[in-house]
Amino acid sequence: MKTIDGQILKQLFLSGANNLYNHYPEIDQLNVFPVPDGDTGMNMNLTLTSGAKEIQNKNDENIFEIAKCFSKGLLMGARGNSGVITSQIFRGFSQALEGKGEIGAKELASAFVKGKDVAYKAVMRPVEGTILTVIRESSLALENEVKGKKEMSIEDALDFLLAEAKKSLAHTPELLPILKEVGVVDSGGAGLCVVIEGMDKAAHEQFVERSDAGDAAKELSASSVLAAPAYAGAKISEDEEGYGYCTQFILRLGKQEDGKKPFIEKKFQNFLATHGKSLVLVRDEDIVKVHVHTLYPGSMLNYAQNYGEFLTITIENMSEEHENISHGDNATDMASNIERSKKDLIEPKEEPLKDYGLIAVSSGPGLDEMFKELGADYIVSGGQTMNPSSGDFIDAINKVHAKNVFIFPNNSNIVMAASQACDVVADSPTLARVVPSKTIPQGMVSLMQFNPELSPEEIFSAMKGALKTVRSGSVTYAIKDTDIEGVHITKGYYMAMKDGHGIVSCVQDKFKALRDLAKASVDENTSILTIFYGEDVSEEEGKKVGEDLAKLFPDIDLDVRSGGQPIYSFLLGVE
Amino acid sequence: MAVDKISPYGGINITLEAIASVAGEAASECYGVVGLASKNSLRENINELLKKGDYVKGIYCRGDKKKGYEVGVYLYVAYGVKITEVVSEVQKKVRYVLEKTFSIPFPKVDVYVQDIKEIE
Repeated sequence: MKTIDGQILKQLFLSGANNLYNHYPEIDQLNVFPVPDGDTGMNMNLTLTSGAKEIQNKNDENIFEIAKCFSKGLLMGARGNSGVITSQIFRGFSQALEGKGEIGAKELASAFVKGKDVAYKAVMRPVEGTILTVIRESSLALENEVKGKKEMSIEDALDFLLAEAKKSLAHTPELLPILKEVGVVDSGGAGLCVVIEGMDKAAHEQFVERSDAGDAAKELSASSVLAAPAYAGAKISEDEEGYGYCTQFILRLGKQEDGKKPFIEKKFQNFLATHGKSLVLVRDEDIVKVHVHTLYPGSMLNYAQNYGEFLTITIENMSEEHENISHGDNATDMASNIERSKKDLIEPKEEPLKDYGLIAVSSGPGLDEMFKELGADYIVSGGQTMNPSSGDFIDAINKVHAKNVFIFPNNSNIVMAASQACDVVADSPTLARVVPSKTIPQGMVSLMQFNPELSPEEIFSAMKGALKTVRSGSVTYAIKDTDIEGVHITKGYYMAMKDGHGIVSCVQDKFKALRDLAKASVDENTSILTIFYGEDVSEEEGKKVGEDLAKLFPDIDLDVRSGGQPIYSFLLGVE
Repeated sequence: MAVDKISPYGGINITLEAIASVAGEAASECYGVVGLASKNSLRENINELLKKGDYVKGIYCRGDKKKGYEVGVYLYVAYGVKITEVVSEVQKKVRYVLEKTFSIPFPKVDVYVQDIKEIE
């Protein structure tokens, strides 16, 4: 394509907007500045959608008309900082096209440069390391490139722009310290890259359609953030219809030694929900109260008994009731029953404070369980990419309901949020302390120091002391090509990282990466090596890893467990 | 007027100038804001962008410990931006930066758009 007209530009814009729609939840997760509310992706998406709506039904051949309408739509629908900046970029873009019918690569480049100029004019002190940097660097690079060449197709121009924008985006953490601190790239800049990517794809005749994956992913991310496994509130399935047996029971969860399976609430809940209706499930530590309507109460009880023993069971045939009693009465009665059973367990928790409460941050079902096994009362889910807020910790502290609360953030990024939460609850009878554990293995070892016989101060110092005895490392995959500390990183390869000592190696095979890491971490004083394998490693592979390492280090106690954590293939703790 | 705080080590006294300069700094970094304006511009008939040292002229801060403190920011915005969004971003950012810097709650941030400047 040498030139584009209004209709093609319209396709480019629509494709860009759709691409953003498909990816905005990922962008939300990058958001850190100035208020960590995680809405940049959403804001940009609303802005772009408003622009797309404006040109949807435009059939102008004239490129200026389309660009003008698009920019007007963006202006009207601008949301948030990044949205306003995006609207300014395209306002400049459209101004540059005035009086033109169709444009080539040269005009396209100068339109982007004009967009950059206008965007920069609307702020007295531009902050670098943001979407502004991305548009400035990429548009100027494109302008240079076009100048140097006699002829350039639109496809090539957009390819080039996209590549430059990505390069610039990757550089944003160097310019804006807060990004580096949190370990992300700028979210607005990322949004712009996604838009350009959509435009580029459309130029290559791969028009991006709106997929509902965007919504699905959003739900997913929302739910994984909200998931608080240890103490979930009541959950009522939407469907209140249907008869069968009204089955209610209270289950006391058993220990693994007694042949009981470890209780995983999600799994349990899913099973009940697929076999019954009107599910209400309330958990308070080791007591689970269930109310469910099912056709087969027996199978439900059998299943539940795998996890513990029943304290009480009530089963009533509702079809009979339905025939005998008027439905209305029954329904309200049941509704109030549900309400009551919810209240019983959730609201009036005027119990005296426990002496101690332990809160750990973890991600992955295996790790969650491990922490609970070690005595954590409450798990806050979070990790490298998903940092829990102070509010999450305050909730957790309130729910644990104890005089002395110890928090294990297990990640250096989360220590601050946890300490802030402790300050907030300083007035309450609860005394919360943060044990500054920076990694999961550190948190585990430190948690093991818990001894209720000692005074809180003694426990705290024992826990802090234990942090120093653990060295940890991790294996994860590289998301881009780069060089760090003299190690060449190839995208998709596995990096072995020793905490505090940077990257040990980067190889294609994750098992080799683990061996490298283990060799680098173990010394003559090492006595225990703990490995948690992540969700991408199967059980057999995990076993094999254990055998391999046992050969390598015959003198060391080896503990290989499934952690189920995302992102990190292996976490390593050395004591 | 100044803001007083007590820490375990003694008292802390923060002047309005300090708050104003932090608030001005934050506001001026916001996208769409082309400058701060003097809050007395009508009376003094000065209609120009404030310089960095003069931010205090474009900002007020009042209130007390009980009710909380409130801040007002007088500014100019660029022509062609969505003013509601710019203003709400200014409010969010000023409040965030002030609370982070001083650890005092600022429940109210008022923004006064004094003019729209076309900069070409």
